[in-house]
Amino acid sequence: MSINLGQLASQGRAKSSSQPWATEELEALLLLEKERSLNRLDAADYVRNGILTVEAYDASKEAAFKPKTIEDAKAEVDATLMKGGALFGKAKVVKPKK
Amino acid sequence: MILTTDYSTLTQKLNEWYNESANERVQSWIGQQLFDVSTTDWQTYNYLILNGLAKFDRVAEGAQLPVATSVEGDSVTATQKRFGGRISITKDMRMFDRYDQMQELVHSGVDFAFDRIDQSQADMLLNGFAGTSFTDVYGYSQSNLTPDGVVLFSASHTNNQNATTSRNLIRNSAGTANPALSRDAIVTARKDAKIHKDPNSTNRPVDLNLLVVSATNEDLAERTVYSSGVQGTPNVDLNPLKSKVSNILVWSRLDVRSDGTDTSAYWFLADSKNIKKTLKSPFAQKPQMGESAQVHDSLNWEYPIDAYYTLFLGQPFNIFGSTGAN
Repeated sequence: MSINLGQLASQGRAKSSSQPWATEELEALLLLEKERSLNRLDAADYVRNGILTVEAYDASKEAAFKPKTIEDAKAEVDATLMKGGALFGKAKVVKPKK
Repeated sequence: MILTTDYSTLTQKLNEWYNESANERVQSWIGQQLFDVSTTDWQTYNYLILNGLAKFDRVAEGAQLPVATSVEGDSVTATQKRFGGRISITKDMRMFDRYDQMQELVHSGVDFAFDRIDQSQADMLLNGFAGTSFTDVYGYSQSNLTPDGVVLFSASHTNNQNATTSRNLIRNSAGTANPALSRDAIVTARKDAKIHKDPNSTNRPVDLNLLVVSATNEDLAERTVYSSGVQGTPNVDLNPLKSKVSNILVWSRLDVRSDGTDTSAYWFLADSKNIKKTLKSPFAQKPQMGESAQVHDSLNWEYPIDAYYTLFLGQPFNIFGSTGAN
C-alpha cells in the first residue's frame, strides 16, 4: 500500500515525498499553526527544520532564522552533486582516444 | 497402496477435505466482518477518499452547476500480493494409505492460511496507534497510514481543503485519550463520531454501533452494553447503550499482536454500515487448493494452497480506537 506522499508533502501534510510526519512532528505542526497562526506550508518548513515547540519557534523568529524549504534543500543537494559531477548529464565526458 | 492411477481420486478426496475445512474457517473468520474482502481482478487498487465534496450550492438561472472534482480527495494505491504454502503427500503416506494423516495435513493447512489472514487483519487495527508502518504477520513491512498520511487512529486527521483536523482516537469525557473500556468512554466516542464534521464544516454523523473487543474484554463489554441498568452503578437508570450499541464483536486475535505485544486492553467502536469503507482487504483470489505436482527426487505429491490479497486503509472515521492504556 502506498499513499500519495508527494501530494501530501506539497500541502505540508507529509515531511517529504517519501516520508510521512512522525506523530510528534504532526502535533508540532498543528500546534504552530494554531498558536502562531501560521499557514500549514510555513509551519511545515519550521517543523522540517527541527522546530517542534512554540518556544523554539519564537526563539527562531528572534534570531531571524529562515527555515530551509524542501526546494532550498533540493537545490542545495543538486548543487553539491553537480559540483562533484555526480548528476546524470552533468558529469564530464571523457572522449576515447583514437 | 495409492498408485499413480489413483491420483485423481486422491486429489478429489483432498479437495473435499479442503472445502469442508475452508467452509468452517470462513464462518469463524472475524476479519471479514470488518474488512472489505470483496473479490477484485485489479492487481493494483487505486482508492480515493473524499473529504466531503462541497458542491451543492444554489445556482442562478441559466448558470452552470458547480463542479466537484477528485482533486479534493486523498488517494492510496495497494497492490495484490501472493501468499501460500504447499501440502506434501509423501510416498510413505501413499504407500501405507495413511488417509488420516493426509486429512490432518489439509485441515491444518487450511486453518493456518485463514489464521494468518485473520491475524494480518487484526494487526492492522492493533498497529494503528503509532508509527508509520509495522512488520506484518508474514514478516514484511505494512503501512498503517490512512490516505491523509496519518496513522489510523489519531486525534488529528488532516484534509487537503483547509487546516481543520478530525479525530477517531477514543477519549473519555475528561478528554483523556486511549481510555480503558468503560461506559463513559463509549458514550464520549459515540458523541465525537456523531458530531464529526467534514472539512467544509458539514456534519457527517458516524453511528458507532459495533463494539469490537478482545476475548479478555468480552465480559466487561457485555456487562457494559447489555446490562439492563447502568453497569457498575447502583442507580436505577435504564442502560441506553443497550439499544445504541447493537452488536459486540469478540475477536480473540486482538488479545496479542503478532509481534507478541499484549494488546488485550485495545478496543474499537465501528459504524457497522460503513466500516468496510475504512478497512480494505480486497482479494484477487481467496485461499484455494490447486492440483499437485510430483517432486521427482522424493516422489512426494505437493498440493499448493495460495491466495492473493492486500490490506489498506480508506476514510478513517468509520472506526474509532483506543489502546485502553489510561
